[in-house]
Amino acid sequence: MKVSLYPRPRRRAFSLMEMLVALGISSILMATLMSLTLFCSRSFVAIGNYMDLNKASLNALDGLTRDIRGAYSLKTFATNQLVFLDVNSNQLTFAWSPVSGNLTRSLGGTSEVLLDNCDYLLFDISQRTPVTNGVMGFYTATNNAALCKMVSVSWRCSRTILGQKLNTESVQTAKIVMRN
Amino acid sequence: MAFSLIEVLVGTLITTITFVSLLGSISFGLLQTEIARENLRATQIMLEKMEGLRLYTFDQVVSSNLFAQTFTASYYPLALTNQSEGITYYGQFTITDPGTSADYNANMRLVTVSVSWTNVSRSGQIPHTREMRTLVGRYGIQNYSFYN
Repeated sequence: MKVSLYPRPRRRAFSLMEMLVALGISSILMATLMSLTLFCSRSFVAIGNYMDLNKASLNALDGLTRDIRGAYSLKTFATNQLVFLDVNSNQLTFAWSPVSGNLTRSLGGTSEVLLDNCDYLLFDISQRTPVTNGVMGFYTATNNAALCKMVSVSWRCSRTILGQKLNTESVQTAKIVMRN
Repeated sequence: MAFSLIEVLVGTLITTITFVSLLGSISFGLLQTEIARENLRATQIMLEKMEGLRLYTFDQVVSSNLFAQTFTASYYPLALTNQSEGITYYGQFTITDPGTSADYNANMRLVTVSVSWTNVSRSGQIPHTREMRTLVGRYGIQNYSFYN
């Protein structure tokens, strides 16, 4: 019989039960951590998207407001397109394409995209005569664009995260009075 | 050598505090973003009212009943039929004497638009109020806008 001069120290290992319990706890912890990470990542991406969209919306609204306030008159009206004449009788057009999702500003043969990722936009126009029912509102001018004095606009921009639009929307509504 | 009980307890405590702090920070950040969005919407509502004000003559501002003293607006006005419109903003429109000592005081009015809403969060209901003021003059910009 061979006897080792250096006997191996006896090592304790996990029992099957210990291993199973440890695996169960680790799995629960990992699942929690994973779902938390996923939730946080989605939230941060959503906030980032919202900030981007909101910044673009505010810039677009600033440009729109400046141009409409300074426009001389409204030439034609559609719920997705307004054509103004500026003080130099140049044609200034704001048009939204539901296909591309772009709001475009065109003046003197040059076009620029004011807003993208826009999946809803609606123009509405009113004349200067206030309604008399105690609600702060004005009679519509949709039948006669020349009567337009106030433009209402609302739009919604969105992006998707993994195919969903949750919390990645930026909504903008505004009323703009033509000053001229 | 294994961990002693006290080491495990301290380690667990530190880990718990770390994770609770992290989650609290994330939750707080999301709430602040939500509040910022609600503030932005409140500003939109007040600006719409102020912009519409420029189409009224001074006499209409002073002596007519064209202005609703109170109004409501929703956070998400573009909601579809199966979507929620979100929180409701309760607005108030007041037109008062500006109370200046100037001799043209009678030709001015102080217009105040305020909106109030309640933010529902995990920590409870937080009431918010925002206000916007402007002066309207008898010979002010609305004459230019209205008559042109």
